[in-house]
Amino acid sequence: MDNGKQALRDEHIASEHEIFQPRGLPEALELKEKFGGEAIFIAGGTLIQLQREQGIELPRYLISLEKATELKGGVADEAGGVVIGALTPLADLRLHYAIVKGCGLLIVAAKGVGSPAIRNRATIGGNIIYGVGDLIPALLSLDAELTVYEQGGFREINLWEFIKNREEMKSFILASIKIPVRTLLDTERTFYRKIGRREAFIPSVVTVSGRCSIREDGRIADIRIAAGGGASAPQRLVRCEDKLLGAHLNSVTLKEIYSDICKEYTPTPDAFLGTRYRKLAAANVIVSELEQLIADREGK
Amino acid sequence: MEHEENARKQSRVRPDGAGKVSGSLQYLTDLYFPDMLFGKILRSSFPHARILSICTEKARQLPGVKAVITHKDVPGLNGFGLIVPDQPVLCMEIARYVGDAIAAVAADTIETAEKALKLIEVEYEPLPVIDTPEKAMAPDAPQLHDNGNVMHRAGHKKGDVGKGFEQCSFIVEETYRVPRQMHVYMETEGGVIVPEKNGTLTVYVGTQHGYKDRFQLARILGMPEEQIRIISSPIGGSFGGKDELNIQPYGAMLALITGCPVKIHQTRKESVISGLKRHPMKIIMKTGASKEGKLLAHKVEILADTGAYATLGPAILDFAVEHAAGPYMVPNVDVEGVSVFTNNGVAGEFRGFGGNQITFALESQIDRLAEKLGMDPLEFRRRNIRKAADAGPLGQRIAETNGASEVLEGISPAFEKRKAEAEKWNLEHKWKRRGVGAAIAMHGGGLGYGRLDPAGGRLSLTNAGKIQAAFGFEECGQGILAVIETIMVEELSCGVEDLEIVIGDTAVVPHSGSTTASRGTSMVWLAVQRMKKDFADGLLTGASRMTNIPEANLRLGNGGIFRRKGTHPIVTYRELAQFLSKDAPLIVSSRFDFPTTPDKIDSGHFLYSFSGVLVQVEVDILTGQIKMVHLDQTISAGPVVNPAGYTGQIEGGGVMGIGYALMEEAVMVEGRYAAENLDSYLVPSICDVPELKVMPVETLAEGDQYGPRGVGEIGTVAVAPAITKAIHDALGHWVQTLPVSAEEIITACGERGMNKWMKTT
Repeated sequence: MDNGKQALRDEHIASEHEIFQPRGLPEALELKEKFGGEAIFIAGGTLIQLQREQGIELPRYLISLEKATELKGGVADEAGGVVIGALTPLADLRLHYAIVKGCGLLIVAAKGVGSPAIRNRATIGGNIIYGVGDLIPALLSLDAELTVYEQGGFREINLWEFIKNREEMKSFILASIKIPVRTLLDTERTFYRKIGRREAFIPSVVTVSGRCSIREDGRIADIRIAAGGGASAPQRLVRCEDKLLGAHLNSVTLKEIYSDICKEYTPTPDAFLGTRYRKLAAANVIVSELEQLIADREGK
Repeated sequence: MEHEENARKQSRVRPDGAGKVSGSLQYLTDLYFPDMLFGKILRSSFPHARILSICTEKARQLPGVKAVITHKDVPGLNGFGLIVPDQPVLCMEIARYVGDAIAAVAADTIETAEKALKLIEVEYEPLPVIDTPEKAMAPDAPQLHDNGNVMHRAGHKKGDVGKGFEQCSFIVEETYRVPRQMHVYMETEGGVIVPEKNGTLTVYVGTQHGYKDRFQLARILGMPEEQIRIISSPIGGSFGGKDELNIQPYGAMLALITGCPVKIHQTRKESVISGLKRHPMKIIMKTGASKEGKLLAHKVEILADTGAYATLGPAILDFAVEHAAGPYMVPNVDVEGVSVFTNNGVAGEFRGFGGNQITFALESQIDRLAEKLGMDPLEFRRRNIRKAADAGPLGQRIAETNGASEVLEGISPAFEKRKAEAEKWNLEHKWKRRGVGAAIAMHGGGLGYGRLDPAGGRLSLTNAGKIQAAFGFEECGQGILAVIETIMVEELSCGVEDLEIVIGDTAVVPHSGSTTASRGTSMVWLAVQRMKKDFADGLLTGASRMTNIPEANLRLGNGGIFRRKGTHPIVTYRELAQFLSKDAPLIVSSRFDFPTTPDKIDSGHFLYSFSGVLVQVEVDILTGQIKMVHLDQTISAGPVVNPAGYTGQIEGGGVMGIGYALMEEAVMVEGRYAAENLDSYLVPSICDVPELKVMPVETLAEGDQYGPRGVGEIGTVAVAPAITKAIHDALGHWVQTLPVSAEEIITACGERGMNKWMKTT
């Protein structure tokens, strides 16, 4: 009987939805152009499944990217940095030495997404295209570059630029993510923290990530601060970054940075937690990390 | 001592355990029948609206649709409700909450039924939404029911609180708010209703009281009760939530109209929207004590949001009123409770039954007073706690019990240890602080004085030679089968293999009352006590006649009847059954009422259980998040029947209590659920569960004849106040609203300057 029911369900899907499995990116893009708003790309499908459960109508045409040969998941340690294929499942990130060595933040971030079953299916590309994925703040703090496929071929674009300009982009497919190599200075601190309403298997309320290094003269050599969470599009806190870059950490008080972060970070509230909480939590975590960086340096 | 007891007692493998953990067990929602149709229920589009018209024409015309029903198709009473049938089966004029049913469809697939729902045209005139009890009580509020918006009032007075407060050196007055919690049973409401060839109806739907469903369905269908058979176990969780009718009436009407079996199985979203929740309450408490630490006066006002319909709401308010002073002896008490109708869902029966709400407020008061007195909070409790022979909270006589003191002293030694651990830990951590809190609770079992609360059971020897134990209880995950098995084997000395346990089927089980109110274990034990002698005598007499050995030289054993000192059966139960079946079969049954107080005090309980809860929490100063570190519970509920089942109930209840305190809230915005699924309505996951410890105190008062008490609820009751006290211990901040808000905690940390950069206002 169970099988009979399954057959009915499949029949139902088949009658209303069509699934394409193009072998290459040009074909995939062509299909998307053809069906426009009636079609979506699908990779791991975990988010689309969740949205469907939430009552969002499943578009009529599903264009699976899993068979596109250019998109094979995987990680390559290239000259300019670590290149991660867009279809790489989140659970696989920790299996690659290049990531473990140079982008530990990504592993921490990936481990906090959904549940093990979800991480086995969900891809890094999907997490980015979602727009509010947990990996984005970590990728922003690592200065990630994206390679997207558009009509006319591949193009590289910085993740932060991509986030700001995505609305204006025509149809595209995310092909890979590159984490550029950077020279490590004496004192560098990276951090990633996801805050949810329970310990695990939980959407983020606030996600912050950052990277800060200090030169020998005590001035900040490089800094990235990113914050997202919930329905808030992840943002780089560029005004805070600019203020801190080149400054002596001791010359800017923690109180000032705290207040700047609260001003610059503009989270979206929901029925459970308001804007104020999100600002306070994000600012606290970031400032505590900077304080720790000072302590680390003074400890030397 | 507890350790010895535990060592003596072996945990039993649950009879239903293997099937459940392997997934091979079929729940009632897993059943399929030939020609089965699928039903769906159309719920109201508005939390409060006048229904101007319902047109089902287009839905009926959809191929695959077999029936569409509205209020016009209800053959009998268009109403249900365990106390008052005030909830329409299908709304005629007014919809009072978003789960109100407007129409129902049977079709050959779920998808067709869903499509048909969208084709039903309902014209509504939205009405003002009463989304808080305060609005409901306003003089100009629209009245949701003929008798107004007050569903029920209850109160209890003792002494003179006015005079009592005059004598107090310390008084604490506070307003507490507790949330709408959802049961979140894993199996959502559902099952199959089958119209039989002989005109009867078989209802395969989980419920906590098969006979009560039969009674309510008969009234709705205009059918004699005897023509309805309820098969109601196993159930994939209930926690009180499936005590009331849910999808049964729609499935039954659709089955009768189409002549086909109809399956309805709600999605999680449908379950959230239509299902019961725990009553949110606002509780104002004013409590005073002398400078010596004696409680002198306690004034309580309870405002409960019962939602659109009554179900067991009146009894829940009564329970909260009764437990407002809990295990403390206070000379002057004044409790006033009111439960009001709103357009917020329907609140009803839920594990703890009003006790969790009131205990949070009461224990919070006790801790605040102890702080004012500068007294150790456990010592303050010690000075006011009831003694074994004291009267119950309503002044009624109760079964003697020293449980309150026993649980308090049970947690006392670990309290200091946990505090020392936390203090040491805090020295080593910069951004986190740990704290320790404790709370105790007293919880009545059974329905209370003045309520029909019959119990009973039946023992028989089947023709196949099985000792059949039949009870009208339901297996909803709590482990009643293991309880029945344990008690039967211990009391009759037979083997597990000799037993056949029958529950959950009105065609074959006796009336045992509802599987609620921590009464199952008590009732099985009491019933077996009443029946065992007659039943054993019947077996021994039979065996004696068969073997010509005097009864006095025979005994019951594993596999059959033994000689008193024999090592193997001389007559197997099968042989005995064959012998006895020539005359009258051996059947012994018992019907009695759950023990109540002899005093005529409405709703007063007689048997109580107690819990002492000790928790350690970790507060994240940067984010305001609370993490549980330890949850220890000492429980006094008489002898443990099945240690694994007992531990499971207390641990599971404890985790539910953690959810209640820290994350669970079915938030409603203008009468609509803000979280309609488990992606945003949160229950604890295993990562939120701390180290758990359960310590039973098994002693009963001398001469106690009531045996083991049920432990289905007691593990949830006092967890929240222990958690909030632990937060206070860590930060110095008192919480008065559940679930604890991370924003409140982060603000409290800021105000206390726990980070040098913080300057929150």
